[in-house]
Amino acid sequence: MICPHCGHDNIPGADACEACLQPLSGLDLPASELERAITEHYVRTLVPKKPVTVPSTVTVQDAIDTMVDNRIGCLLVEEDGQITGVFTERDVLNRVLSDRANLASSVSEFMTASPETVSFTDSIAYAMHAMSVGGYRHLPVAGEAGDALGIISARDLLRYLSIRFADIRDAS
Amino acid sequence: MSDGSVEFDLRRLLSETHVSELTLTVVPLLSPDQTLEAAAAAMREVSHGSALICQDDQLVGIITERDLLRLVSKRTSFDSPVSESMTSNPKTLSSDDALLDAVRLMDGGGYRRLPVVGGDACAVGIVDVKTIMTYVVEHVPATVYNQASHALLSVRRAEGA
Repeated sequence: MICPHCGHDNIPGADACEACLQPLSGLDLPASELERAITEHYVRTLVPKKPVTVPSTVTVQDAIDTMVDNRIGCLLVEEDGQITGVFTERDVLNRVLSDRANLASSVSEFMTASPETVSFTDSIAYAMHAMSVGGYRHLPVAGEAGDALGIISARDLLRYLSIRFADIRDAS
Repeated sequence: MSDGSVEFDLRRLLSETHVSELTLTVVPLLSPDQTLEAAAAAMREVSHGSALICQDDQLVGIITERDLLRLVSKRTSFDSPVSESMTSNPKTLSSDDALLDAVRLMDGGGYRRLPVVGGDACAVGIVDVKTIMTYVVEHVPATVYNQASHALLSVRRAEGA
């Protein structure tokens, strides 16, 4: 949690701010319905989409074809049943397309290796925080063994918030 | 609320905040006859996944990294004009629209980005899902933390009195 005294970002549940030593306990008690929900609801509540995974040995061209076939912009790369990387359409734009010869290379050369992941039982607030701090649009949901179980996007989070707490689908 | 909790009203935040209050993503503005290669290079330069296409100071289209992905999958070269692959006449926002309008458009149309028009240029920028998420994330804790520090301040004053 963010220290209101100095702005330091502490680990959740810390009793005192690691940076300025001011007490943090009690600060997280008063909360709105929304704030309670995002700290008490798990990532599971978002019903994460099943991830599309590819082995790290596929070519970049195959990975792009897989994304287009599935109408998605983000693939998880797996090796021995574990997430080893994330490959997104932004990687294609920024790293691949400058030279079409890259399309024949292995996806592992262009993916983001060892990505940050969340688990089904992390809070939605944690996922929001991770996404906003890291600037990611997608977060893989990993099992205890590091296996790929799902994927959540900024859009999933915005939809959760805006449907539950802003009634965006009201007629008014 | 009677239990003294801080009421954070997301609907109010979204309806009372205008697009002009967001930090818009500035994206490349291209003309319809520029090539896809030029569009890709312009997007790469700003590390953003879309560009807007303007003609006579009017917004006529948007091209995104998803369009480029589809073309790569079709083994198409990037020599053709961007106008052949762009989405023509995209839905737009203006600076005085509320965030709620943006969220509704995105939810209803499945859009991730919306161009903002108005002003001198053909477009002033883009609002994307991440911009709104970040805005909401920045404002959710603010209510609680402000409240908390106010509480601490009043305690300190009382003790010092």
